[in-house]
Amino acid sequence: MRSLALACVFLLIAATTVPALAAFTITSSSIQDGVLADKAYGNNTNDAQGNSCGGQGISPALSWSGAPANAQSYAITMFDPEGRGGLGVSHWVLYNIPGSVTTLARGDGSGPNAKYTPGKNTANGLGYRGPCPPAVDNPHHYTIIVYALDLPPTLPAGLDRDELFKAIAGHTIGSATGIVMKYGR
Amino acid sequence: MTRFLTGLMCAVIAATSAAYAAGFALSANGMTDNAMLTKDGAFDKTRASDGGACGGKNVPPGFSWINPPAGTQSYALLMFDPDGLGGKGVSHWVLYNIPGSVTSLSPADIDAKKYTPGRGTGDLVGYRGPCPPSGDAPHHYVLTLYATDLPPTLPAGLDRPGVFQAIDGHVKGATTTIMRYQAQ
Repeated sequence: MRSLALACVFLLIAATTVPALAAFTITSSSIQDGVLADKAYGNNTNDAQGNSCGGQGISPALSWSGAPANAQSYAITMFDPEGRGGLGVSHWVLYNIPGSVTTLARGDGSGPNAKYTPGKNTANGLGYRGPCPPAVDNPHHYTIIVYALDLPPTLPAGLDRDELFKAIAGHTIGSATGIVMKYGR
Repeated sequence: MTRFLTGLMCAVIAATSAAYAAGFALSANGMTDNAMLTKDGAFDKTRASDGGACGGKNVPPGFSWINPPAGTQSYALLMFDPDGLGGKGVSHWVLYNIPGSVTSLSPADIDAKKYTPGRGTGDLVGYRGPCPPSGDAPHHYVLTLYATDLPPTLPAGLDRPGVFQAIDGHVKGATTTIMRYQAQ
């Protein structure tokens, strides 16, 4: 089933032909753009009704290429605009990733012990918060963006998404066209 | 032949995802989620990044939705490119005061600026088709439809943050679909 889904992705790519040369782009060995993600990347706690979300809470592997040459650090965000009944949920904030880094291994962004500086998610936890959309919902869309910054990797700890955006305003020199992960229960 | 079979199986996968059919769901007419928008839907003026022609007609495909939350009195539809402006994001479309009885928007509705079109990035009113920098990988145009318990009487001229402020505490549900586009 997974290899079939992969074949569909390749078919889609083949059908759309991508002439871009050195675009700043994210790839992942864990998840694919616009495709339902494996339960490994889902939430490993309970939903508001006390039912298990059924995931493992592992942050997906990410790699990026074609970043602006003068990037001094990177930040990553993952956001679900459909979450909380439309208020949106910030699932992942990770920053102070040095400019020499171009890969985040599977699990490196999970929890308070995540590599680099894990910021606060909507639930006020640090690090990756796996998706747990309401069981009756269609799969939600989780937009993942990598920001290239001309700032050294020395931002203060504990920033949430809005605080991160404030801190990097005027310092974003590029953003990697996002992978949108889909997840349903 | 293999390609045909794979295509067929893809269609089967798409059909099996209908297990979620009871949910509030937005779709772009004739497009699957995350599909590439045709050039007609792209912006019909010049590109912000280099002044080149966008080459589109600014005619989106039209949209429809099913299974709205009970008690919905109005909708707001927002289109946002999180990759735009080098990561700052571009608000491409703000449309609100869509009555709760409405379940679709035709290209003609959109062209006629039916309901209340708000202000997008650059204070443009109405639908602003994609026009990403040439050389970029496809951008993602995130369309989110918000169902609210407010009557369709919000003031004119709101921008994206203005709509969020106005509907805060009144959103009964939201649904997203994504269109991708790349300069061509």
